[in-house]
Amino acid sequence: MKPYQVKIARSAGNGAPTEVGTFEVVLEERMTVLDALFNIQRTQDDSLSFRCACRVGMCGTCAMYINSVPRLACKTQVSRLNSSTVTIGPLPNLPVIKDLVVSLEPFFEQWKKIKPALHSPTRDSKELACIPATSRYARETPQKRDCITCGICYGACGIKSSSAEYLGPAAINKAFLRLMDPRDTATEERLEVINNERAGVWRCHAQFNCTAACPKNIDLTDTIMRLKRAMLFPSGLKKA
Amino acid sequence: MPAYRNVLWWYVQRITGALLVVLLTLHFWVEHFMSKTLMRGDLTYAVILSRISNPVWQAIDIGFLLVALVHGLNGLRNIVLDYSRVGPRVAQAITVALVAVGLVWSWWGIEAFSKL
Ligand code: SF4
Ligand code: FES
Repeated sequence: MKPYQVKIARSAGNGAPTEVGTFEVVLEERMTVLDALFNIQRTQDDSLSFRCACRVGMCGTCAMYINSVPRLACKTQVSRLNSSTVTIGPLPNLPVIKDLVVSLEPFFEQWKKIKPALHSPTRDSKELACIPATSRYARETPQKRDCITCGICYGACGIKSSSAEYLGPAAINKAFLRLMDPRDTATEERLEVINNERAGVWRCHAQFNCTAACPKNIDLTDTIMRLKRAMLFPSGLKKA
Repeated sequence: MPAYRNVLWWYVQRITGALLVVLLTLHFWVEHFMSKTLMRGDLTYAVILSRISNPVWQAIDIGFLLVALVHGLNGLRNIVLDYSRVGPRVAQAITVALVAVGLVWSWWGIEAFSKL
């Protein structure tokens, strides 16, 4: 058991001013930031708002800004932060609803723009649309398919903080998967979005913040750079 | 499926960046470190004139000017585009202004050789 000081950004949302609430908690070695938040909510301030669901790093709802890095609260052990002070704020680049709860609406607005659903001519077919295990898509994208839409990359991105229009890493990664998908046919529409000068891949300057922060270890910068290079001969994306 | 225009500018920025490394190194080496006359301390206008009258040096200098202008002005445009608080119309006006600056500056630099 070890004592920690937890500083939490408190806000009523809608642009209301943020105040810092300071709490003292005693935590066991393997307790997470999410455990600390529950501890505070149960024993010190039941008005504290935060979001979580699965508690095992699968749903992505507990993303927040912990000691200046966007992370999943349920996957972040407090002892691993190597600090007796834990500073927690809402995920950057997203509007605050209350305290640590942000609205993911802007994130999903960008997500929608790249047409995330599969566009297949055989959509109504009863047959399973299988992807051959030997295909390039199957070989080169396994990790990139692990996204849990937590919004951490969106919060970590420096370009996103200055540009409302930029799609953000997760949406671009999803577009990349669909562009590589041999079953999908909406290639031209997606390339138009990806190629947009103000919102698409050209805004990325390879800061690698998204790659460093992604809890699923998706190499988002690699995705974006591959897309940029592929724009010279876009038909190559679908090659088996 | 056609290649997209933006990708060409992306490649141009990379190629001019690589060229700048070579040209800048050459420039500093020749102009500031390795000139024998400079090292002896008797650098005169005539010495400079004889070098910049050489068509090979003229080609290198004009190439350097154009590469630096394309890279620098395109980089500036990218910085403007990174901040979408600048609306599309303002961004377009800035693009036109940067192209104009590039053209005037190129003409200015190239035209200087005609006065030798
Ligand atoms: S790419 Fe990674 S950081 Fe971004 S939303 Fe998906 S899981 Fe989260
Ligand atoms: S609660 Fe689901 S990822 Fe943290």
